[in-house]
Amino acid sequence: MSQQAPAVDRALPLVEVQGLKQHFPIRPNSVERLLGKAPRVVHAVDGVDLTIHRGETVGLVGESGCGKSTLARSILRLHQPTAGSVRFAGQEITTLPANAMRRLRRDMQIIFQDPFASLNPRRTVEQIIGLPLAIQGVPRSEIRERVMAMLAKVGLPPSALDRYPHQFSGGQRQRIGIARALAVNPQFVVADEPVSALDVSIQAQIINLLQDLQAELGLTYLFITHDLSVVSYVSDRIAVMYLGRIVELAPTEELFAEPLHPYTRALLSAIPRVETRGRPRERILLAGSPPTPIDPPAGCRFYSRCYLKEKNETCRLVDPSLVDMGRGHQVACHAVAGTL
Amino acid sequence: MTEPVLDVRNLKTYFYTDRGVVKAVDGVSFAVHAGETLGVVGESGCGKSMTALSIMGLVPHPGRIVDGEIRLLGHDLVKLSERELRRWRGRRMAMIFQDPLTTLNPVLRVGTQVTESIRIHYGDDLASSRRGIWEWLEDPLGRRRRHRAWERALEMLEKVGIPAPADRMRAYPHELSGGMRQRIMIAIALSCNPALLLADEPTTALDVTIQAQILELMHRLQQEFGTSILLITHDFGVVSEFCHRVMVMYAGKVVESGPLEAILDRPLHPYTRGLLASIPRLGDRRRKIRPIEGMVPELYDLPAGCSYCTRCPLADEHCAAVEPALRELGPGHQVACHKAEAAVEVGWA
Repeated sequence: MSQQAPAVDRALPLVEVQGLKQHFPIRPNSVERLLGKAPRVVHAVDGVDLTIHRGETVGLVGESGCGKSTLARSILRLHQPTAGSVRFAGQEITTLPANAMRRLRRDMQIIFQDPFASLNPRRTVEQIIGLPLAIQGVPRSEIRERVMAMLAKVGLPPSALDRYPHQFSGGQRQRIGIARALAVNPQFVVADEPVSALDVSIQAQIINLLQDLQAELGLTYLFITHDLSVVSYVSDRIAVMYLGRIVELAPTEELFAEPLHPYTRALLSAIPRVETRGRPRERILLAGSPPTPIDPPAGCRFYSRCYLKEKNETCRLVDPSLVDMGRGHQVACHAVAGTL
Repeated sequence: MTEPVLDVRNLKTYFYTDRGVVKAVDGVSFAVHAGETLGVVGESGCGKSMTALSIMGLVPHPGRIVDGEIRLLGHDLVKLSERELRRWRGRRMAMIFQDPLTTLNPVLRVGTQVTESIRIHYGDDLASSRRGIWEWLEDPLGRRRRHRAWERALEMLEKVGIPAPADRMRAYPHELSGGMRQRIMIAIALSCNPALLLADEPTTALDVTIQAQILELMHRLQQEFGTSILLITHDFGVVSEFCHRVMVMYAGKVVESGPLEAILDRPLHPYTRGLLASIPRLGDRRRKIRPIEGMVPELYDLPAGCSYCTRCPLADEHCAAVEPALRELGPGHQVACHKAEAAVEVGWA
């Protein structure tokens, strides 16, 4: 097998998401059922458009419960999307039959946040990393060798092969999770908060490892995190989510130089920074917390916490869509896009 | 200089386990002055939480304080009996934890929990000093006293910015959001106006916009009440925005301490430098992050000399053999490293 980095054509979209919705019905309780009430629905992802190009890293940020992880899982079709389309390398995958989907999973993998919960405690490292290989039909005689190669790639000793997850530290376990995801040579990897559970010095080791592997294997990442410092470091472009929607999408430098959406501006100003000069900074303190995704507001989802003076009835009633502001910068805000 | 609010000297908290003696806190000394915030930084297992629990007298089994002094307002807490300590806890020192859902009692209403320490501590005061026979005749069942505690709790909830506090007093913890729960914890902690607040990763479980709200709140309350704060965190961003002085811990020991500016701009210990080099800075992709190699050593199996020597790029045989003592290398800036001067000359940060 060739270890050469595959040629990467950055212009080609690898993942194209259009109008993706992921709703989860809540089981009605007995009183609601007696009264014949319509079941309530959590609008976890509610109309997302996103294109990810080959070889790039797209960062997905937002607060807990905004739908980041659900979006990623819907893209991988770990949930069956309620509506919308996901095209992977030009192929529509939301309607793909199960056996074709299984073959496609070779190309799309995920790294989970919690290196303690995401590894089976009763399986050895060889079994854990070897499982996706076995599913993809790699002959048993080759598996051990490929697992060894993966261990070397993620910086674990060959002696790890026959050990169990509990014998490793958090950082090492995350390396095992990365090895499992990359074992089948995927093109597209979702990293769902891969460093959030780790100490800072270990966090840097894992970030560097992910970046080295990306350069070596020509990977495309969707990098989910709530830590804006980390996402700004690894991403080429950043999408900011709020209550099931992408509210702003821009190249990293652009987003930090000129955040447009009032939510993004508040988010950036809220991050405590390591600096002694230039203090105090202007800080936008958002009041309250996000509304519930069970009953999202009709107009702009950020309306209830928006602090712009310009906000008016249009914001409350009309749902803003993502508008291209040039330089690849998209924003969903009436006041910024001039659609008030 | 006035007497510090908290003065910890040579504190040692050891755990006697089957695998050996774990020196969770090993000879830690520091002081917190009135109205000051001291940040304690370090990775998990470095002893920062155990230092705070030692001060509160809440070291879990099989650990105990084996040596040292913890002087709060001039009294040595180590020498106090459990009964005396209980009168200090909550009244003169209070603690808030990382996860408010596990620290609040899920089966008691918020109001019960907020009034509890007020009733206990102010109840004591009234009983011992001011509550004479006439007051007892006026209020034999203590209903007024309970009412006063309720009023005080309401006032505290208002102070920490909880909307509709009267309704929230009757709510259960699960009915509130994470940010609201942490506000309740802060209200409980500050309800008896303690001299010292120990905050153990108070915002780690919260989203950044909520974290900003909580930090702002703690800052405002500190100014209002003049509380001294010991803030435990692993986030240098939080330290940089909130603390006056910083103490960096590694494997149960203080490796560096000093004023905020000194630690951030002129870090002397290789570990502090490593930590600062390993965090990505917001919006700066050109500055490459550099991880610290290796892992924190097991606490029951520490090297003889400097505990950091297994990961330190500057370490030599001297470091492995002889433990470095804290030395003062700048105004109020202390470091425990044989190579501190060399590190400055090498200039890596």
